[in-house]
Amino acid sequence: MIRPSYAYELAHTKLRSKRGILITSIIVSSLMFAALIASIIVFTAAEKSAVSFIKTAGNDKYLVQVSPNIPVSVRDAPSSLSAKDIDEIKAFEKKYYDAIRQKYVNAGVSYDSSSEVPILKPNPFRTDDSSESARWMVDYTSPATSAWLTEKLSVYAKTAPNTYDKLKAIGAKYGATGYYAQASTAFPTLPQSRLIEDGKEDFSSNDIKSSNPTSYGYLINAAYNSNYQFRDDSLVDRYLLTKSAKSLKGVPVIITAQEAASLFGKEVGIGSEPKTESDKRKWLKDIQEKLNGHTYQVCTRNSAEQAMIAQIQQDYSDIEKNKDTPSYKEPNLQLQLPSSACGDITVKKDTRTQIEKNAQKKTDEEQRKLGLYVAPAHYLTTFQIVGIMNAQPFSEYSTSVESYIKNLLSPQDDSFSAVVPAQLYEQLPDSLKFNDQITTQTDPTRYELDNTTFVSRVLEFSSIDKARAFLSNEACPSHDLGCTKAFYADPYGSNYLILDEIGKLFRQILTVALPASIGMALIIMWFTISRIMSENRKETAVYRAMGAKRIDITAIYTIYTLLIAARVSAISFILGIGVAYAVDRIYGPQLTDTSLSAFGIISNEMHFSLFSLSSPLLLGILGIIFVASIAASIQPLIRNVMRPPIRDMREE
Amino acid sequence: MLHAYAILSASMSADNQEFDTSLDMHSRVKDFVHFFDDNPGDAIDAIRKFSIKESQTSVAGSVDPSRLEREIILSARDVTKRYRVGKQDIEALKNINLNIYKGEIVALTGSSGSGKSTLLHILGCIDKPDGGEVILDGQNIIHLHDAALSDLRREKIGFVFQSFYLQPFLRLKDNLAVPAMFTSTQKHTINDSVSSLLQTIGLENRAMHYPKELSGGQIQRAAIARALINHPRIIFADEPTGNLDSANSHSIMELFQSIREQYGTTIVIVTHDPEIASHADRTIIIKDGEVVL
Repeated sequence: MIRPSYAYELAHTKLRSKRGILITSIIVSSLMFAALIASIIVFTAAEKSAVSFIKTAGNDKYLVQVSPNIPVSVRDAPSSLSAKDIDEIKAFEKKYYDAIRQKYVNAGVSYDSSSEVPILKPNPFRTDDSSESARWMVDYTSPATSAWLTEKLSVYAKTAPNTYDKLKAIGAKYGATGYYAQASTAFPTLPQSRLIEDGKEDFSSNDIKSSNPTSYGYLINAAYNSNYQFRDDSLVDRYLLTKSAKSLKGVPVIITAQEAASLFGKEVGIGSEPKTESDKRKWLKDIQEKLNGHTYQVCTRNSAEQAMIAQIQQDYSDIEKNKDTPSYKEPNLQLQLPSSACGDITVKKDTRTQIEKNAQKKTDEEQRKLGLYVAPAHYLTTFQIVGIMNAQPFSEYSTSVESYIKNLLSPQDDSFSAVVPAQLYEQLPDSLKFNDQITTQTDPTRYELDNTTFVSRVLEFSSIDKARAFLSNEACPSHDLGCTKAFYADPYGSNYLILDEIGKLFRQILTVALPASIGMALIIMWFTISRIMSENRKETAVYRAMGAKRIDITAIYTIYTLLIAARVSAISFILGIGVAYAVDRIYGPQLTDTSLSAFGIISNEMHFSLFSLSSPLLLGILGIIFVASIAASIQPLIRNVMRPPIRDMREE
Repeated sequence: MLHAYAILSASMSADNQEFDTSLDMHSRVKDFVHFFDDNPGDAIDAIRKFSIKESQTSVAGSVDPSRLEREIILSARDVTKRYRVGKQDIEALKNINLNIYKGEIVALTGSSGSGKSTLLHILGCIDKPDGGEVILDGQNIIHLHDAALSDLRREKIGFVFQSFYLQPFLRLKDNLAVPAMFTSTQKHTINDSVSSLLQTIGLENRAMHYPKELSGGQIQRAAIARALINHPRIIFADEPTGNLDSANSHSIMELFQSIREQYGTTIVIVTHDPEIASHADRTIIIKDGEVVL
């Protein structure tokens, strides 16, 4: 048999013949494989980077936000009242007002039944032909209606499949390792408060401050609107810049970078939000550095003071409006707004008669007896910024591929509030905590149902598969209006499930693309080798005439095929790696900025890379190129070798 | 067996002047074989072992007849070959009988389609006859399998083609080495042989040139040298001057003569050119698949 070195020499020489077709085939095959290689490198890196960010953001855990799916028939009045419903409602209403009346009697206070607001009110769309049940509708302004709905929920709770206890039992089946509170309902909410800006309370508007809901929504005005939520620290860990309560001078709070810049930017020299992700990342870092530890105050006024302020504003308005009206008589009791931030409301003018004063005094006394009296009160609360999160515009995904990716990487926590880290808060001295009076609840039954029985929780799982199993078996997505399962649930903190699905989809595509590419390469290589062998038949015949055995010819063409495969491999890998590297250089920094700002991670260590050579598929591709080349050469080689040389010599 | 050998010797000796080319030889061998009808294997063995040693008295060419011993190196016995063209069977060779002697230059001539190339391919062991036998250097090739035939071609036969078939992307020295690459010869030995052959053909200063840088005559000289690299006992040249002018053709034939003298190589040349054929020791004329002279 021919020596391998001689076979190599002859095979190598053959590479110089039929160069046109050979080079074309090598280029076409290489391009196909290069595209495949580049895709694998880029996707592997992207997946690794995304997972790395997700793990960092979620503390290496996969979170699922779960809330009970309480049937509408329990949460609300029936959309169409039946005669039975009406009877039941009327029975409840009677019981409700009888209890109140009894309370008045017990307190020795005269009861005015005309103050009762029935649960049912006439349906404005009723006609003379309407049935009795169609003539009525529920009046949600009635306190009896709230009590009735609470009663319904209490009854449901006795057999409900979606209480917190049941959730814990179900979660345990799927290996849930944590049940974190994230909803505002899990902790007391603050009554309406006003942000103290420049040492003043702004009483000019009682409306909440909103923004364009298609961009950032209320999230960037949460502190201004005093919209706060408590959340377990582990859910907001990635935003936390201060993790110890020792140095805190107020209630710890995490607010958005956008609101921080808007409210306090001028004080520390921070401009408005930049447009590019690269600038935004620097801006975010700047805010995090300059506003970490920054304090601000809000004044919380209770319902009595809120009513007084509303009255003051109404009186000011009326007096101003009627200043030229001789018949207008100013109120005989006029209050005035506080002269200092979170100061007392004072009396401006009191011309009431003694009788009027006594009547007011009597009313207050009766309210006290009934336990309904609320004395005017206000509380100053100091907040200290301990974290900055980056608000994501709602509709960015629709504007470009980049924004779609950004949206994909953005935290998924549907928060509209500033966040108070619960465990950090608990470490505060009482003097810095919210005043107990602020958090007093008026309906303990409802509070218990909302905050203990039917509570929203964020469940923690150690793997995507466990989270996915819980999501698919036990819950519906929150947008599923026809849900019949006990819970609603969505991935929380990041789009890990979508990213995982994309990963699976890519691998599925690969299972098609890979054989397709191999098939195409096989055809191209077969065509090339077959054509070259066919055109070299006479040369083969000459070799055979010189005494070459079939195995010698086989050796030459096998080495020739391997040389072609080596070239295809080299070009494919150089091209594929080059393209992937270029993609990484072009889009990597941009995605790093996007991811860092989306996840709110302050780290120069983390990069969103689009270049990774770690996929074992790359070695597979290398093997495939060689195997495909050899496979492609088998048929033409057999045909060429088995062909008697005389057939080609005869053509001489 | 000894009896048969004696008859054959006597018969051939008695009629030696027409021994190799006449139809008489054909009929005599047939007669000889018939003598062994009862045991054809003995006849074949006898032919294999048969060796005629006598001075040649009427051969063409310039070789000193006294130097040539009439030792048969190649025999064809009743060789037939048929081709199927469309639905027709064409008999390309019809009961060809001939002997080629060691060291002689034989021209196979005939018109186009006469079967001379077919005969050359069969004699050169790259094709097999449909009938008859071919005995090369005492070995009947008819029943040899492909690998053995390859060995035979590599060790004993050299080929020269009309179209040269030099590898265009190999330098001259490498082209000459190609047949040796199919042996287990060491590279340095091959290189030595190549150098020697380049000197023989007068192209030692062209060793590093590619075929396209050489003239047609030089290329064919190189092709002849390539055929010699494995020291064959016989060279088959199929229209070796077909693509050359008369001067180069003459030069090539002189080269063949020189090779024969230097190496004692037997040379069988297929040509339709009488001028080329005239350089041969003798000429075998093929017409319609039969030896006519």
